[in-house]
Amino acid sequence: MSQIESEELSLSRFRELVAAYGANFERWPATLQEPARALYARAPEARALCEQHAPLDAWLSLDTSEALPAGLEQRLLSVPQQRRKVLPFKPRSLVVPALGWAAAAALGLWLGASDIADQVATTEDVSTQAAEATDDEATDDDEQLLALTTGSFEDEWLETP
Amino acid sequence: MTRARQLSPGDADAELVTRAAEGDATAYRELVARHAARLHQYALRLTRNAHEAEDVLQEAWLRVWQRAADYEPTARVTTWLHRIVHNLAVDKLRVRGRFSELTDEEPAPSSTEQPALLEAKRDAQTLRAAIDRLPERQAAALSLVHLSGLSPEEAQEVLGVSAEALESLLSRGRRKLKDELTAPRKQHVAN
Repeated sequence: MSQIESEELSLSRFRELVAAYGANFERWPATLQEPARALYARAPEARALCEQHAPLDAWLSLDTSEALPAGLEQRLLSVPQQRRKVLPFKPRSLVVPALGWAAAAALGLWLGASDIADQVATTEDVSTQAAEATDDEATDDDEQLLALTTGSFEDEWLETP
Repeated sequence: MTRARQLSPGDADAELVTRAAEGDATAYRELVARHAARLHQYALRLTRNAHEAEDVLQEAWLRVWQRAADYEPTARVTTWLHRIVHNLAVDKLRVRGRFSELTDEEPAPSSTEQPALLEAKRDAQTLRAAIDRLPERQAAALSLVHLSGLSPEEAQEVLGVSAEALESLLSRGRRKLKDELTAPRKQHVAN
């Protein structure tokens, strides 16, 4: 025997419940439906109480729902077209774009690193040549300056035309 | 665990919400077709004003579309939807200063005609008018359980009340509703 079946419902409690929920046991709290049916089956007083409340139940069973006003229905149906949907956050939806960005970033870094290495190597060659050229020029300039200060220019340099 | 695994088999509403959360406008429109009329009635019962009910419903469905991912499959979709509408309606009433919260006090006597007898011809308009004369919380409880078809447990969740409180609201609401529908016409004529 289940707990619900073993639960006894007194007539006084039945009276309170039928006054609240009516004579249709389907509308009663789930745990009280079976005890109510059991009492209804064995107690004439319970059946009399249900008969008292049946007319009001009949009123309440009237279908009071009406069709929506036409304009309102149209406004409700058009909500998806008028309002942008706030889609729920889904980490899984970010996986593919994230992988794409990561791949692009890695490729960029790799290319960038290769290019920098090449540029460094090239720059080193150019710098070496430039330094050597600068050294040669500096040597010539130094010799000219020394000649001016010491007056040891070749005579033809000082001759006026 | 994914949301799809948490859904009970055959829970079409939950599946629709899941698809709407992923941007499926067709699923959203199917939810509107299934639930909007019932939610509109609930908004009307709470606000008792056609324009406010429409505002509430528009805000509610906009929230459904933009925040469907917030839905927790532990609750039925219809409970979740009613909860959204309930909260928005209460906020609107509070902002406009009509209620500090949904009141359980007796409303002012209505000057509209009341139905003569319970045995009189039943019609939905008479029932709606009678429910509208109930205190808001009682009307909300009755609407959820008897009109929207929510279970008592789901109605508790929407209203944020205990089982005892819901039972009390329903009991008083039904008693008053019965009085409304069975009482002889009350005259509110100013002499």
